[in-house]
Order: sequence, then structure tokens, then C-alpha cells
Amino acid sequence: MNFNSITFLFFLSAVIALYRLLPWRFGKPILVVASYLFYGNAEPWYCVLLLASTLTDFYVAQKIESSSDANARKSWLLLSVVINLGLLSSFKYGDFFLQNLNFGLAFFGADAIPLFGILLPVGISFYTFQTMSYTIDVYRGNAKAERNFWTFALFVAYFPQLVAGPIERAKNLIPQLREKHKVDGATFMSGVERILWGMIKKVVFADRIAVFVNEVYAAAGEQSALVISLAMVGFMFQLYLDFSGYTDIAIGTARLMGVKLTENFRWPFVARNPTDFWNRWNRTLTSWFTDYLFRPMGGLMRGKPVRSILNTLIVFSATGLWHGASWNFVFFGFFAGIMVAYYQTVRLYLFKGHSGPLLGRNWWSAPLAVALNAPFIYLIGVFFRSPDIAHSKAIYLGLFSNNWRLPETLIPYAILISFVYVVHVVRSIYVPKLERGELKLDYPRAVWAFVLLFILMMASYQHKETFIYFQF
Amino acid sequence: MKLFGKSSFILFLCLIIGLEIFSRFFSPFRNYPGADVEMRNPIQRLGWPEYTAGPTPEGKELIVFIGNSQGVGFEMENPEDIYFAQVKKHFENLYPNLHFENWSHGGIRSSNVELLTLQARKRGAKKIVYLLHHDNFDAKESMRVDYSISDIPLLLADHHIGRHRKELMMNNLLLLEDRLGLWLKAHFHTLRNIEYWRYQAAHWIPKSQHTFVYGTSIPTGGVLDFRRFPELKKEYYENWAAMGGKPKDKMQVESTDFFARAVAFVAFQDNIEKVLAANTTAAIWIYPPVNTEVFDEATVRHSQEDFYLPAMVRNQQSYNLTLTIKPHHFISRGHLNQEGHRQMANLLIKSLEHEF
Repeated sequence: MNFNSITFLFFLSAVIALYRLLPWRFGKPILVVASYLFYGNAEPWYCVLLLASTLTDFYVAQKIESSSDANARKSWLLLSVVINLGLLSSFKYGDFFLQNLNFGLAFFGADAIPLFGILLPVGISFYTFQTMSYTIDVYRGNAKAERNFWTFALFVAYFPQLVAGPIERAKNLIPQLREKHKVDGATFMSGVERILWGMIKKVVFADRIAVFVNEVYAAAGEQSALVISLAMVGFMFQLYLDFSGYTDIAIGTARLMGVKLTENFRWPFVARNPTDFWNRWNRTLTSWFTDYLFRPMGGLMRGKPVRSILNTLIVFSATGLWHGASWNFVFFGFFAGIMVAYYQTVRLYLFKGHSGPLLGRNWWSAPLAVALNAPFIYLIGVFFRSPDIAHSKAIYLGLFSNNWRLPETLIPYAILISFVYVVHVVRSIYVPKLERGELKLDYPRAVWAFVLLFILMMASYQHKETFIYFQF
Repeated sequence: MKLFGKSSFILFLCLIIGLEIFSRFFSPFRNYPGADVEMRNPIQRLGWPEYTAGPTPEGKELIVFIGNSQGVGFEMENPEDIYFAQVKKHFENLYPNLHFENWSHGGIRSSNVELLTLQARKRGAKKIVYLLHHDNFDAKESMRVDYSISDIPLLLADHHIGRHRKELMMNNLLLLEDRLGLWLKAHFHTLRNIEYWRYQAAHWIPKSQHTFVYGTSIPTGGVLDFRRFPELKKEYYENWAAMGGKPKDKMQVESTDFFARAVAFVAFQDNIEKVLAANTTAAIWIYPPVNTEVFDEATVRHSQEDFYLPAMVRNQQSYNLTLTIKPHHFISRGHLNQEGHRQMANLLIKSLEHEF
């Protein structure tokens, strides 16, 4: 079920009404059922995978906790990882693996193996990582195994963040799902406001920028360098508005039930260096890879630059591959890794003793740092957006076209992208103050939400596009 | 204010309810029975179900014209010059017991026509004159029905239409999402007003910037049910065989969008005839000229052979006017100029003289 649909509006209203009216012993199973309905709306069989992942980790975590034998604990953990990654690999990477294998077989003149042709279950990457993190945390002693099946099932399938994150940790979400929360009017209203803002990001801005980006990417070889540059910037904005819009709706929806989800974005476009960017962009995924892959591999090692660079490249390539079963995404991650590795190597080995960012710690250097870092972000976004490597190449080559003309019809898009930036900055200053309680503006908040609703109705783009991160 | 103080959410709800009340009292919709000027408004009038609901003058029989933007008279200055106005004037003078209404619609699609047909049947229309050409059956658009901008939700909300919705081809295409959306639009005036305001805003800014307001184009709905396509295609071939035609090479014709539209058109006509069979309302099919008929020989051949001929051979009351209009009758690629409307009116009067 798409967040930007009428069906979701009715679904959410019914769920919130039931949540508020029913006692928690009924409310929790109903929320689980509602989450499965939400997930199975497009393809009911997806729910089987979700249930398989839930049952596996529910029992494995208890076995790990109750076992005192280190080998047994390790075996149970291994079982969970194999099952989870097995599901993910089969459904997401099976055809990708076969395609590459067939490429090799063709080289030796052998017959190709037929592809599985399985439709990728929505959100499988997100909930698989969430359940894996739970089991690993229990194994490490960072979290306790949940004994109540409904609570755990809700942790895995909680509909606001099921399909595209944020990827929650057990420590944060499970305790919140154990009990029903009293939600006062102000909290409820802030949830509504967050949902509306997320919707505006998606259907007013992202979907409209998508029209321009799609047109440019569809005819990459015919565009001027200026148009291609604008599309590169536009796509990263579209991606941000689309994904963070989804996250806003997820956070707002959970807030209607008194649940606080982790913030997934923190002003990514004002990042001052590549590392800073990944600490601001899809933060729950970055921290997942940091905690469960990068650190176990050794992370950044003082005195071992080659190993540090290798670790960074492996982790970022894996992050790219997590996004999609295609070499394009691997390249996306790999080049992001090169940027981070380069920056960290310079910081650690050329500027020893620097604990903070190399550039951008005061008022004059911060804009300079942002301006130096931003182009690289827009450049790697090409791999994310292009369907294949050849297409990415066409886009990059377009940058060397000597035609810098901007057609009149595209000027509104340039204005739109600038406008989005300004609105985002203004809101980012105003809303956190409200949330920290520094501003007490109850009445204007309702009025502000009403204005948002009005903007949404007046300016939404008619042709709905599904959320980009739903495909992962 | 104490009540609001308890919850800002209550204030938020009150604002929404207030907007809805405001929308009900200060609705921008105006329903002028027979007002052709209003029909040419590109906002598609928003409010026509009330208009189509009548009343037919006492003791008169209703004749309804359902056409596209040509029938509305897009790009014409004077409403008296539109061919409908001329035909209406001619026949109402000739037969004082007849009452003509123009329910044409810019960018009309088969879904709109189906609903309007039910509405005409409800009003006991004596005859419905359909003025549709193949461009009103866009197979690509028909993959997904989109009622977001037209008045269709209001027609769907009509109890009579609701009762008979299963008779329509488009009923098969309506998803839960569509039904919920249509219900909201039919019952909340704010949503109708919002669309009106959006269109008004679109008029203030240059066309190149319309994407700011609502998108790149005005979407309308079609009703080519691709789930039924193999079945429809079989019927189409049977029709060809029945009239002694030679079915073309399947691979060749199936690859064309035109063929898909032709199949949809024939199925649509059968459906309309079926819907009207329960009543005494009769259908008259007019194939009006379309710009591509004039300018492109290949399209002319396709349209005549694939599109109009099968319908004519099946003894449907139809008049093919596609080849009687010349390039100089068009004001633009799609719409007729004053001379074109005059020519079209003459042809219609001649064609319909024995129909009433």
C-alpha cells in the first residue's frame, strides 16, 4: 500500500481509531494484522516471507539467550544469518547472480541458465536487516530476546517503517511497542503535521522534479551540459525528497501512536565532507553497516591505511549492492567508498591530530566545504538513477558537451529546485525548535498543518509515482 | 478557545470542516442548462451532473449530443457558430417537440461516454447522438483510468448510475483506490473547489509552467480493459469474418496501437448498444472528422478499414463524416474553424434529417 494513496488515508484512520479505542491486549494483535494487510495489499504471498523472517528470529534469539554454550550460540546466530541472507539473496540477488554467471558461461560457449524471474518483495532489504540486527544484538548482549510473540511480530512488521525504513534497532523500538502510549493533542498534531510535510515533499516536489529528471535521462545524448548538470542535482533532490518524505510520513504515523522512530536524515545537502554526508543520509542504514560490518572488519585502523581503505570500499560496495541487484548500484557504493576513503586517508594520515572535519568548522569555511563536497554527491547519483552502466556513461559524457543552453521550459524546474532548498532550510530551523519545546505555538501549529493540507491539495502533482526506496 | 486548547487537532479538524462549509456556500460552480459558453470552459465545467439532470421542458423529447472538444467548440469565439448550436436551431425550428442538449466534453474518453449514456437513459432521452473518433480511444491512456479532473465522480455518486455501474466496461477497471477517491470527490465540495482553483491558477501562468500547478497534461479516462483484450480481439476477428472481410496478418495488426483502439471501439459500441437496449433510447453514431484523417493517408486507410467499417457493417445507425472535411476547415490540428463548423453542421443536418 502506498503512503501517497487514498486507500492509505482510510487505512490509517481506521487503524488509529482502533488503536485509541481498544485495550492494548487486543490493540497489539490488531496492529500486527493491520501491518500484514498493509504489506500484503499488493502481493499477499509477501506476507509468508515476512512471517518466515519473524518466526526464525523470534525463536533463534530466545535460543541464543537461553544457551550458555558459546558454540551453540554462534551456531544459532549463523542459522539466523543464513536464513535471512538466504531469503534476501534468493529473492533479490538470484537473477543478478545468474545473469553474471550466464555472462561467464557465454564466454566459454555454454548454454545460459534460465533466470528465476521472481518479483522482488517490497521492503525485504529493510525488514531483513532489522531482524538480523535484533538477533546479532541479542547475541552480543546488547538487547534482550523478546518473549512476547505479538510484540516481536509488531517489531518486524510495524507498518509505518516496514517498507522503506528507518531500520530500527530492537533497543529503540521493542520497548515502545510493549505498551500503549497516551497521545496528547499536541503530539498527535505534530504527527499529522509531519505526515503532511512528508506528503508535500513527495507529491508536490519530488514527483514534479521527477518529470524533468525522467525526461533528461530518457534522452541523455540529446541534452546540453547545463541541462544534464541540472538533472544530476535534480535527481539527488528528488531522491532526498522522495525518501525523506517517506520517512517523515513513517515518523509522523508512528507518532500518532506515541511511538518515536529514529530520524533518518539530517540536512544531507549541507554535509561538509563525504563522511559527514553518510552520517546525515539514510543514517539508520549507515549505522547498520558501521555496527555490523565495518567495525567487525576492523573499521579505520591507525597505521594500516591500505586495510582501512579496503574496509571502507568493501562496506560501501556492499551498501550499494544492498540498494539493488545491479552493477550500477555496486558502482554507486564503490565510488561513494572511494570518496570516503580518500577523505579519511587524508584526514588520518596527512592531518594527524584532527578530530573534526578538515574544512567547515567556522562561518566562512562551512559554505566552502559544502560547495566542494556537493558536486561529488551529485556525480555519484548518476549511477543510482541510470538503468545501466552505459546510460551512466552517456550522462557523464553529456557533461562535456559545449552546449550550455537552458531551454525556456526548464526554467521553472530550476526555480523549483531552488525554492525547495529555501523552504527546506526555513522549515529545518523552525520545526526542531517546536519539537524541543523552545516554541509553544499550539494554535499556529494547527493552522500551519491546515496550510500544509491546503498546499498539498492545491499543488500536488497529478501523476502518482511510487516511492523510489520501495524497490529496495 | 478553551475547547481548542484541549487539542490543537480539534482546531485542525474545525478548520477542515469550516473549509467544507465555505465550499458548500461559495461554490464557484455554475450550472447553466444549455449554456454553451460555459461548456467551452477548459475546466470542463465541474458541475455538469446537475445540468445533465435536467429539466427537459414539459412535453418535449430530449436529444443528447455527446462529443469531444470539437463538439464543445474549443477555440471558437462565438457559441452560435458551433455546429451543435446550428443543428439545434435547425431541428428545434423544424420539430418544436424536440429539445437538444450538448453534453460534449473536452478530452472525452469512453468512460465519460458510458456514464453520460446512463445519465441520458435515466432522463429518458429519445436519441443519443455520439460524435466520437478514434482519437478518443487512446489505448495507452486506457491502461489506467484517471478521473481526477473531470466531473465523473459526481456522476458516479448518482444513485441511478451507481445501480447500473456494473453495466459499464469501466466498472471492471475501478480499483478500491479509485472507488474511495471517487467517493471522497463526490461528497466533499472542497475537493471539487480545489480542482476548480487549480485550473484557474493554470490560466494565470504560461503553458510552459503548468507543471507547477497540476502536471504536464490533462488526464482523462479511457476504458480499454486489457484483461478482456484476447476475448475482444476474437470477437473483432469474428466480425470481420462475418462480413466477408479478410483478417489481416495478426502479428502485423496487433503491433499497432491503432488496432488496439479499433478493437476497444467496437467493444465499446456493443456495450453502449447493450446499455441502451433496456430502454427506448436509440444511438446514432457520427464519425466526425479528425485532423489526422486529413493529413495522413495511412491513418485514413486504417481508420476507415479497422475502425469505422466494422461498426457500419454491423448495422449500427452510423454516419461517416471523416472524409468530408478538408484541411482548411481546421483552426488547429484538432479543432474546427468557423467554416469547418458550418460545413459540419450542414453535413449533420443532412445526415440526421430522417432520424427525428
